[in-house]
Amino acid sequence: MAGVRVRTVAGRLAFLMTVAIFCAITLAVVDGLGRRAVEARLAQSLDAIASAYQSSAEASLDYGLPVNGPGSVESILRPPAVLTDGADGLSLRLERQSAADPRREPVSAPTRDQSGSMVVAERTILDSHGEVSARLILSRSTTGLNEDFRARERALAFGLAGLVILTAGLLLALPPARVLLWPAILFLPATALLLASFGSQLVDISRQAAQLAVADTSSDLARAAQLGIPFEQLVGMQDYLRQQVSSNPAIGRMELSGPSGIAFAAAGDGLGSAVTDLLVASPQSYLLSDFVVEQRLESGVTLRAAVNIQPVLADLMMPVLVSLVLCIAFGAALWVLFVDRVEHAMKLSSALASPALFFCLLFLVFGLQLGASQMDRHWQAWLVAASAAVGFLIPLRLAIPTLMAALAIVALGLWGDAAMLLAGAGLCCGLGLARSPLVLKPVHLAASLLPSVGLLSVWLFDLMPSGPSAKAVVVLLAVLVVPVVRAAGRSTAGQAEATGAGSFAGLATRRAASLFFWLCLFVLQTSGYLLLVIAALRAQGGLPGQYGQSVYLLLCVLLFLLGNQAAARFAHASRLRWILCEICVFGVVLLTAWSHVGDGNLFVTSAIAAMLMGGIAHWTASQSFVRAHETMARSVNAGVGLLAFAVAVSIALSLGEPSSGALPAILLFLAAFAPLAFATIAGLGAPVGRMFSRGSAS
Amino acid sequence: MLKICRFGLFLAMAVSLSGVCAVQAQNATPAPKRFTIYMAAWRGCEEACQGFVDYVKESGMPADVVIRDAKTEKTVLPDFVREVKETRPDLVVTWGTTVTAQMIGPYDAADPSKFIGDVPSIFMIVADPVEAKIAKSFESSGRPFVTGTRNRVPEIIQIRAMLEYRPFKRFGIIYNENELNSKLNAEVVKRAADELSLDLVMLPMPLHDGQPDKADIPGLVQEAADRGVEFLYIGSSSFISVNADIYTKAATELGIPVASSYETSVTDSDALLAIASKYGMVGRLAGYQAKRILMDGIKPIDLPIAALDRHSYIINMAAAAALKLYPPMTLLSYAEIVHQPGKN
Repeated sequence: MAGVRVRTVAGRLAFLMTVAIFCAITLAVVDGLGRRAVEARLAQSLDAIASAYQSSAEASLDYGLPVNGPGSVESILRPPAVLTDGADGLSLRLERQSAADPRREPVSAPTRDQSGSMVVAERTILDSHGEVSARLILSRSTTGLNEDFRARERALAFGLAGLVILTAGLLLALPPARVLLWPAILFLPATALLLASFGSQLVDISRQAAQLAVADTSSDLARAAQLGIPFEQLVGMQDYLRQQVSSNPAIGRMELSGPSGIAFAAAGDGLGSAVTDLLVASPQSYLLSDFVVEQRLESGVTLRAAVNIQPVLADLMMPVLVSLVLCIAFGAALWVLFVDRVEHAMKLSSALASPALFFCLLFLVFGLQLGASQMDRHWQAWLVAASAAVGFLIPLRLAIPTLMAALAIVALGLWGDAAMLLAGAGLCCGLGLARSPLVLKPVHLAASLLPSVGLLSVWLFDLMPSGPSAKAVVVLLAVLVVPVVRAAGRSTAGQAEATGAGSFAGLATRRAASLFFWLCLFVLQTSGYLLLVIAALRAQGGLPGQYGQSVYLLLCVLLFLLGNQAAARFAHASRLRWILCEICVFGVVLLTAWSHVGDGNLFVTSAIAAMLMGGIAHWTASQSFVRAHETMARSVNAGVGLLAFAVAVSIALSLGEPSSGALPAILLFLAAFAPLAFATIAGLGAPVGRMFSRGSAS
Repeated sequence: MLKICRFGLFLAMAVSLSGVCAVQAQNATPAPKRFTIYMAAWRGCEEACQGFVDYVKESGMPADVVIRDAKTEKTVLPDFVREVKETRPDLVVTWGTTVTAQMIGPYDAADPSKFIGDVPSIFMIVADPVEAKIAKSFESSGRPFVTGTRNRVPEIIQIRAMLEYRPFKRFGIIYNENELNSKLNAEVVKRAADELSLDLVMLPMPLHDGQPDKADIPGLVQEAADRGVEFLYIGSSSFISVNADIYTKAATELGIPVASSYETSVTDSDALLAIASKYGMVGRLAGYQAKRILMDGIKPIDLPIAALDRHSYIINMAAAAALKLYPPMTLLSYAEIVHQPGKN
C-alpha cells in the first residue's frame, strides 16, 4: 500500500498538518475532560467532607457548645494544621444564624469563588428541632490545582511541538507509508502521561479526604484513651473501622495496630479495595506513598489508611475512552486520507458521507440530541434503518428523483419534527451506500465515524448548542451524498457492478441460496451489536457525564471495526481462520454471559467481545458459500453490518430493561452462527496436514 | 437684605414643616407590639426555662418573659392562675406535669374556671401529656388555646440504643403498678420488646397498703439477675426515678447495666446510659412553638405537640468502668460522656 498522496512535498506537508491537528485536538479534548474530572472530583470530595462536618457540627451543637469563640463547635471542627496550610489548604467557618437573621439558602453544590482560587461548599446547620442555627462554609484553595493545570498546558504545547518536529524529521527519512505508524507510537505514551498526571491530581484530592478521615479516627481513639479505655479493651473496633471506611469513599482500607501487636483492619468492597490491597501489600509499596496516609498516636497506636483507587480509575474512564475513540478514528482517517488508493479527495469524501451520515443519525437517536420529535427513540432508530434500506433498494433510474425527494424531506425536517429529518437523511444514506464508488472497508467505516466523534466532542465541552449543530452536520453530510448518486446515475449498471457496488436484489436473484446465509450473517451481527448496545445502556451508572453511553458505544463500534480489519490478516489460511472464528464465537458467548449473568466487568468484557465480533463478522462473510463476488460481498457485508447496527439500536432502545435482552441476544448469536458453522464444516474436506496451508479451498 | 431675610424665613419654614412631617410620619408607624410571656417554673429557671429565654432573645421576638418560680410548692400555683387571669399575658408557658396540671388542667376538667382558660399556653417537660389528659393526642392537643412539647424518647428508640451499646436477648423492667404512667409505659416497653424479638422480664413493685417501698428495689434487681436479665431499663416512673440511686447501685453490684429514660439516672446516679432530650433543647423547642403562635399567628390547636428531631446518647463512664463494659467505638464519636475519669 504505497501512500499515494504523501509522495509529493505538498502531500507530506498536508500529512504533517493533519497529524498536528489530530494530535492537538485529541490532547485538548483529553486535557479538557481530565480537567473536568479533576474539578468534579474536587467538588464531590468537598461535598462529602462538608456533609461529614455538618453532622458533627449538629451533634456538637446538641451538647450545648457555642457556635464560635473559645471551646466552640467551630474550633473543635477545625481541620488539622497539615491540611489547612499550603496551596491546597482547607478552611472551615461557622456563621451563626438566628431566626431573626434574613434567611439565606446555602448553595446546593460546591462552587468556585469569584477569584477562581477557591472552591466553597456550604451547609446549613439545624438545631435539634429543625431550625437553622448556623451556616457551615468549607473552602479549599485551588491555587495548587490551577498551577498544575497551567504547567500541564505548557507541557502539552511543548510535547505537541516535539511530536510535530519528530514526525517532520521522520517524513524526511522514512518511506511515507511507514511514517503513519510513528505518530501513533509516539502519541500513545504522551496520552498515557497526560492521563497519569490527572490520576496523580485525583489521588491528591482523595488523599486529602483520607487524611481528614484518619484525623477523625485518631481523635476518636484519643478520646477513648482519655476516657481510660485501654487499646486492648476497645469494643467494636471492627465495626467501627468498617463504618469509617464505608462512610469515607476516599478510603479503600484502614488498619490499626497497637503497641502490643493487636491489629484491626477493614477494607471497602469492590475492585478498588482489592487493587488498593495489592498496591499496599506489594514490596514496591514505598513507591506508592501517595496512596497511604499514616499517623502515629501518643498511645503508640499506628493508624494506616490507603486511598481508594476505584473512584480515581472511574474518573479517568471517560478521558481514557475518549482518547481511545479519537486515536482509532483519527488513525483511520489518516490512513484513508494518505495511504488509501483513492486519488480524488472529493470522491473520497462523497463515498464516506453515506456511512458517516448513517452513524451520525444512529448516534443522534441513541444518546445525542437532534431535536424535538413526537416519535419514541426506538421508533426513530427503526425509521433510520427502514429509510436506509428503502434507499438501498431503489432502482438506479429512480435514484435522482428519490434523492431530490429525500433532500426536500430533510429540509422540511429542519423546522418540523426531527423524525422527518431522520427519514430524509436515512433515505439519502441508503441511496449513497448502494451507489458508493468505494468498496467500504472497516477502515473507511472507522474514518466515517469522525463526524459523530466530532459532534460528541463539541457537545462534551458545550461549544455549540446541540440541536442546531447536529442539524448542520446532518444537512452537510446529506448534501455530500448528492455527487455519488448523480455520478452513479450517469454510469451504467454494468459499470456500477464492476466497481463493486451491489444490492441485495441483485445478489438474491443470482444466488438465492446465499440469501439464507446473508440472513444468518445479518442476525449474527444484529445480535452481536445488540449485546454491545445493551452493554452501553447498562453501563449508564458507571460512565460519567451525559454522553458516557455514546462514547462507550462509539468505542465498541470502533473496536468491532478494528477486529474486522485485523481478521483480514488471516485471509489465506482458511482452516486456521475458521478455528479462530469458532474460538472467537465461544469467547464472545463466555465473555458476554460472564458480564451479563455473572460478575464480570461489563466495560472490559464487552470491549473485548466487540473486537472478537468484528473478527467473526469478517470471517463469516468471507466464506465461499456466502460470497457471490469478492468485492460485491464486501460491499454487501458493509451494508448488512450498518443495517444490523441500526436494528440493534432500535431493539435495545425499545427494551424497558436493557439487561433482559442480553440472554436472547446470546442465544440468537449462537443460533445464527450454527448454519454457517455447519456449511463450513461440510465444505472443509482438505487433509489435516494442509490445514494451515495458504490458499486452501474453502 | 429684605430678600435675604424673606428667603431665610422661607427656608426656616420649609425646614420646620419637613420636620413636622417627618415626626408625623414617624408617629404614623405604630411601634411593634411587645408580647408578654408568663413562664411558670417549678424549680427555678433551670435548663429548659433558660433555653426558652435564650431562644426568645436570639430569635428577636419582641417579647418580655416574666418568670414565676413555684419553688416546688404546689400551693402557690392557684396564685399563678389568678395572676394570669388578671394580667392576661399573651402566652403562658408551664414547666412540668404538676404545674401544667394545676394551671392548664385536663381537657375533661369538671370545673374549667380553676384554670387559666382562654389564654394561649404551651407546656413543656411533661412526661406524657396524653396520659396526663393535657392533650388529646400528639398531633394536636384538641384544645383551642393549648399546645406544647414532649421530651420523652420513644421506647423502641431507647431499646435500639441499648442494643447498639451491647447486644442482648433478655432485659428487665421494674415498674410501679401504683402509677398509671408506669404501668402503661411497661406495656409499651413490652410491645417494643416483642417487635425486636427480645425477652422482657416484667417485675412490678410489691405494694404495701397500696404503696411501693424502696426497700424492695434491691430484691427485685436480684430477682432480675436470677432470671438471666442482661440489661435493666428504667421506664416512666416517678417512684423509680426518685429512687434511682438505690436501683442503679444494686444493679451495678450484680453486674447488670442499667439504661434509663431519665437523664438524671445517668448524671446523678449510676445508670450506664440514657437516651434523652436535653432540657435546654426542649426549652428552645418551646420557644419555637411560642414564635409560631405569637409571630406567625398560628392557633395553638393547629400545632402538634412538638418533639425534638435528635436526642442525646448519654453514657456514664464511671458506671461503664465499674461494669467493665466500655462503650463501643461507634458510639464514642457522638455520645455525651459523663463522670469521666479525672473529671467531676
